[in-house]
Amino acid sequence: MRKIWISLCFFLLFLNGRSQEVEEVLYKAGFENVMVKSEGEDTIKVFFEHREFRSPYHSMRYAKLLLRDVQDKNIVWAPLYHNFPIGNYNAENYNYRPLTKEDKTFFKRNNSWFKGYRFHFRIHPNFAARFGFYDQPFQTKLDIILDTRLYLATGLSIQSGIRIPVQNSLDSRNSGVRLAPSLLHCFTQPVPNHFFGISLGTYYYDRYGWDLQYRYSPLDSRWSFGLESGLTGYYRIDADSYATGDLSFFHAVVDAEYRLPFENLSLKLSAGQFIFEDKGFRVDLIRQFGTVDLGLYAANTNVGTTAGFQFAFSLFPGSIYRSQNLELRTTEAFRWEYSYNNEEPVAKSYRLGIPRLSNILRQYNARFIKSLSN
Amino acid sequence: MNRKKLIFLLPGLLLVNFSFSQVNFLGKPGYISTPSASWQEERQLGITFSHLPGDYSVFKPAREENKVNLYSVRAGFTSFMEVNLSIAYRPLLAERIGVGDRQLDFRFRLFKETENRPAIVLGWTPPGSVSPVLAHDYLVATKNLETQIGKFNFSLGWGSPYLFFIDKEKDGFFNSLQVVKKSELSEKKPRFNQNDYLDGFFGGFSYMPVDFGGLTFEYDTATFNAGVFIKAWEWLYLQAYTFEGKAWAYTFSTQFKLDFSPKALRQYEKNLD
Repeated sequence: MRKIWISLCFFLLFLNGRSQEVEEVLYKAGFENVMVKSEGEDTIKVFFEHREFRSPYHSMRYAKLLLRDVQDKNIVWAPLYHNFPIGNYNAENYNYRPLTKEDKTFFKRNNSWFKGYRFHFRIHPNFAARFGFYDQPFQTKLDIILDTRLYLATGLSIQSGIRIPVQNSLDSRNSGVRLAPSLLHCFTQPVPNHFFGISLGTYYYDRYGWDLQYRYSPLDSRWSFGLESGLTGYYRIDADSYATGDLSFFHAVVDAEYRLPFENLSLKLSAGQFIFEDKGFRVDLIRQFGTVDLGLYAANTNVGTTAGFQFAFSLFPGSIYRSQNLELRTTEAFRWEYSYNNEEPVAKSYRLGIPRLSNILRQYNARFIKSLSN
Repeated sequence: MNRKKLIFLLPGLLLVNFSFSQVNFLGKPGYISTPSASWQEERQLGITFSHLPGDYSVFKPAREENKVNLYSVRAGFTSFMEVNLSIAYRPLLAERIGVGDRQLDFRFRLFKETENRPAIVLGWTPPGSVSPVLAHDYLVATKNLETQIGKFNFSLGWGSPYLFFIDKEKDGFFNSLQVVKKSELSEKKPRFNQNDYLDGFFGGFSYMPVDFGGLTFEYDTATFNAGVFIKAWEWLYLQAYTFEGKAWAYTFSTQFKLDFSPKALRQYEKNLD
C-alpha cells in the first residue's frame, strides 16, 4: 500500500513537473497567465494569453511548435483575451467548443491576474490626416502613444499611458506631452457565446464617457450580432489644462455580420444612431488575412453619404524587449480609416484604445482559424 | 528556317508562368499607361510612385505645369477584386489646387488565364467624382507565353469613351450624375481638365529575356510608348519609359504580402528548418 502511495506521489509530481515545464516554455516565448488543466489521461487543456500577436491562430500555432518536444498529449487551447477565456480550440483541427462550467471554475480558481502577467509597455502611433483642402493640402497629426494595461480582477483592466505629440498641422493642440486615452475596461463572457465589453474612460476623437459593447457570436457560426452603445461628451487634455463637456451624445448601433463562404470575407450591416447623433446605416466588407485586415465601407446617414476604406495590422516588429517581468512591444492592432467625405462626419465611431469587440471576435472565429491553418 | 522559328515561339512548349508583376503608372498590373489583365496573387499590397512629364501627363493641356507625381496603392481584396487609390500631385500647381485629384477604382478578374484562353479583367471607376480627370473604365485581355528566348505578355483592351461626373449644382446623387463622352468633355465643361485616358482600343506587350528585367511596348489610345524595367527584388520594380521617344518618365513599384505571420513566429519556424 505504501509503495502505491509513493508511486502515486511521484506520478503526481511528474505530472506537475510536466505542466510546469509547459508553463515555463510558453511564458518564456511571450505567453502569459499559462494554466494547464489535465483532461483525462491523454489530453491537456492549456489556457494562455498572448498579447503580441493579433490573431489567435498565430499564437496557437506558435504554442504548438513550442510544446512539440515538451509533451506528447493531445492539446486543447483556451486562449484568453483581456484575462477572460474565449473558448476551446482543438490543437489538431481547430474545432471549436464553447467554454464549459468546468472550464470557468478551473479558470477562476487558477487565474492569477496579477502574477501571471508581465508589465507591458505598448507603443502605437496615432495618425490623423485630412486631405484635399486648398489652403493646406495635407493636414496631418501624429502622436506616439506609450501605454500599459494592468489587470485588476478577472476580465477587469485599466489602460493608461502618455501621448507624445510629434507633428500637428490639423488642429490647435499644443505640443506638450499629455495623458493618452485611458480607460477602465471589463471584458466578460457570462454565458457562452455572449460577450460584453464595458468601459469608462477617455477615448480617441476627444470623447469621454461610458461605452458598452455586446456581441452574440457563436465562434463556429457564420453569423454574429452586436450592439455598440455609449454616452459620451467632449474632453480636452493639454499639458497644463483639462476641460470636459456634458455627457450629452448618445449612440446606439446594432449590427449583423455574415461570414461569406469564400476568401475570409465578412459582410456587416450596421444601423442606428452614430456618435455625432446622425441616424442611418453603414455597410462594411472586411477581408481578413490574419495579421492584416482590409475593409471597404459605404454609409448613409441624415448628415450625408460617404464611402472609404480601413485597414488594421500589427506594427512591426512586435516584441522589442522581453524579460521575466517586463515587455516592450509595438501595438498588436494599428487601425486607420479613410473617409472620402471629409466635410461631414458620417457614421463615425471613436476608437477606444483597444480593438472593438467585433474586430476581436472575428479573429477568434473557428472558420477563419481553420482556413488559415489549411 | 521559318518553320523552326515558329516552333521556337509557339506557346505551350514550356510551362506558362503567370506571375507577371510589372505595373503601369497608376500602380495597376500593366505596361506604361495601359493596364493588363495580369493578377498579382501572392503580393496583395502594392505601393507605386510615378513621375510623368508635363507634355505627357494624365492632365491636359500638355504643358510644364501639368507634370505630375502619382502615388498609388493597390490592395488585392480577394482573388478576383482589387482596389486602387491614386493621388495625383502636381508640384507646380500645389499652391493653387492642393494635394490634387484622388482616383479610386476597382479591378475585377472575370476569367483566369488558362493554357488556351487569356485572362480577362474589368476595370471600373465608381461614378461620384466632381472632377473625374483620371476616371477610366475598361475591359482587357492578357495572355502569357513562355518561350525559349524569354517570357512574353500580350494585352488587348478597350476603354469606355463615356465618363460620369457629379454636377454640383444639382441635388441628390442620381439627379446630379451626368454622362458625357470623354472627347466632348472639354466642350461641355470648359472648367474641367480634359480626360482622354483609355478612350478606345489599346494594347501592349512586355518581353522578359531574363528573369530580372525586360522591355515594354504599348499603344495607349493616343501615343506609342516604350520602356525598360528591372526587377531589383521580388518586391521592387524600377521602370523608365518614353512617350513617343520625346519625353521620359519613370515608375517605382513595390509589392508586399498581406498574409504573413508575425515576426517572432516566422523566425522560430525558420530556425526549426
